[in-house]
Amino acid sequence: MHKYLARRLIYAIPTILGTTALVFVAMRIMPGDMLAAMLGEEGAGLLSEADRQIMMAKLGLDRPIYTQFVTWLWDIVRLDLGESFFKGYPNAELLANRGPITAQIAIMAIVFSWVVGIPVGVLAALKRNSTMDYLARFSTILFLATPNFWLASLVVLAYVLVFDWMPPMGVVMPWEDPWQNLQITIMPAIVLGSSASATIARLTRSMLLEVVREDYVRTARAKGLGESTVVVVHALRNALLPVITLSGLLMGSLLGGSVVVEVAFNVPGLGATMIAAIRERDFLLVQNLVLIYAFVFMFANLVVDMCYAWIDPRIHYE
Amino acid sequence: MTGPTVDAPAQVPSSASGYGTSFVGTIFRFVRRYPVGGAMGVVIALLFFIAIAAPVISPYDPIQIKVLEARQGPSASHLIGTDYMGRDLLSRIIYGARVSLFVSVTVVVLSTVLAMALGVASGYIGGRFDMITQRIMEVILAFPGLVLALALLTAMGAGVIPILIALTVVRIPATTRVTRSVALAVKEYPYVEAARATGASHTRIMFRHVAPQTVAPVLVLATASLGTVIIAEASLGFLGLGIPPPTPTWGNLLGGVVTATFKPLWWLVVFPGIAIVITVLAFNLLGDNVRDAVDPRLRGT
Repeated sequence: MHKYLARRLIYAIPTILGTTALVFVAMRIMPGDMLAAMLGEEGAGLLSEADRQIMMAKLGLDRPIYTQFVTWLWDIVRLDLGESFFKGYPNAELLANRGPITAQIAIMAIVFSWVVGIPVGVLAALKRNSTMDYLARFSTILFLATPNFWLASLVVLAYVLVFDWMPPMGVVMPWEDPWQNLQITIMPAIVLGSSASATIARLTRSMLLEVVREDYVRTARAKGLGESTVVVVHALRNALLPVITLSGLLMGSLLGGSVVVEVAFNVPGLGATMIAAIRERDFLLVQNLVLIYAFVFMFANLVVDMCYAWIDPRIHYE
Repeated sequence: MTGPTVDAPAQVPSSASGYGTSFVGTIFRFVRRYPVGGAMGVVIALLFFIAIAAPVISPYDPIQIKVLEARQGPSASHLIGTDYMGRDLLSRIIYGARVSLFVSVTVVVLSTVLAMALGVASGYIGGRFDMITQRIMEVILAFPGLVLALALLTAMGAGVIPILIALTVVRIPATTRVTRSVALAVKEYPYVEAARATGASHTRIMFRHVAPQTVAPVLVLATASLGTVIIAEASLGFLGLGIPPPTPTWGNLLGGVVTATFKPLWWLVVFPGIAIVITVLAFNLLGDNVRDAVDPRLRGT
């Protein structure tokens, strides 16, 4: 297991370098020069030649492109995220403020998708072709077709028009005021987890229907075990393996979705920060945030692989 | 939600070759066997008709501002109301269908063709070319799709072409993996060896003998992802990074409408979303049935 982990990390190095290179190149493929992009054509035109030189030097744009790349990599390794060009305070501080709420919402969304998705899938499979099954399948299909930003907008609409209430604004950490924190995070988490839970319910149902046909399940029944024991202890365990793999894959859409949901709910997390930075054309901040999202995603997939090996003893990693 | 009978043997040809011989016959058999998919096909055809005929059927100009008619609720003259600038919402949704359908079809076709070429070449040629391609795909897959699209859009700026490029790039790796794995299996088949023995060039073998084998799985993937691309495009529009106003898109119609004022206008939130859900639902259900028809082993999953 340790050996496998080490090997996975070594294999990850080229991918990590590749992601940094892709982000770096992607942020520089724009036509024209960077100052014009950041300040707008007019703003850049107003600068005197001396100011121009100073700003270019401050942003490191006066150096050749490969030096810029290496400097940026070295900054990341030293965990120096630079400072926000327009706001003037360190990016690291900004991320430390905004990161926890994004992480909290994402984790709550994953938990929600499991807590709702798996039981719904199990019930639908056990009562195959019943009203319950059709209802579950119908809502699954419906949720998969509903964009989360629209669902979020509908919830905000209901806040205002039906309940005449708005969740508190700003960042409230769960240890400061759990109740306020919950008011801010609960609906974004549910909206974010909704399509994931639909996917999980769908897969749980079909996997369980497949596993239930296996010989060992028949043996379990034959030796007189109750139906619920057969399903929960014997069948579900194997049916859940693909569900775990799926959860890793879903992390990608979940992280991307969290950006949209944060904007829709006006939650000041990393995603909302990234969109604001894109609008302000604060390139260094965008560049670092995109990289953070990629790292989190890669790390999540590593964790999923580890869980996989832990749950299924048939899997050996040399 | 799936076909009415599950146990009957598949009547729809399970390989791509059947589509060439009688296209109309295949469609007919598909509709008979999968009424839901057939109905969704009709819905999609209707949506395409609405998009193409938008200038004829939309009751008002979608862009012209009429301040006096602003913020009206649904009524006889404006069936689903007007927005903050007095523009008819129904007309804007009808024109929005153009963008959504155009972007999703273009992105899916573009990424599928590129991924097929890349995957087949990668699997067939193998070696260093394969290794480099796969590493690049892994790097793209290391990003959450929407975040990578956002990064690319930041650099390229908003507009139709940047959207097409960003969403295509994000979609290529998944299809490439599928076509590559098919190519890897197919290149070992005796008929490929036979083609080689008769003097066919590698290029010819790739195009004429390997690529056609990937059509069936790729078709399934493509139909399934049309809805996903519509949601992705709408999400970017919602974030204000899609196709910029005044061009109406389903995404930018929803951008900022709930946070714009203290009391949001409910019809501006509800109706564009319904348009998206109907379209994505139709594509997804059709996609499920196409998958069942092409690959009967996956039925009901």
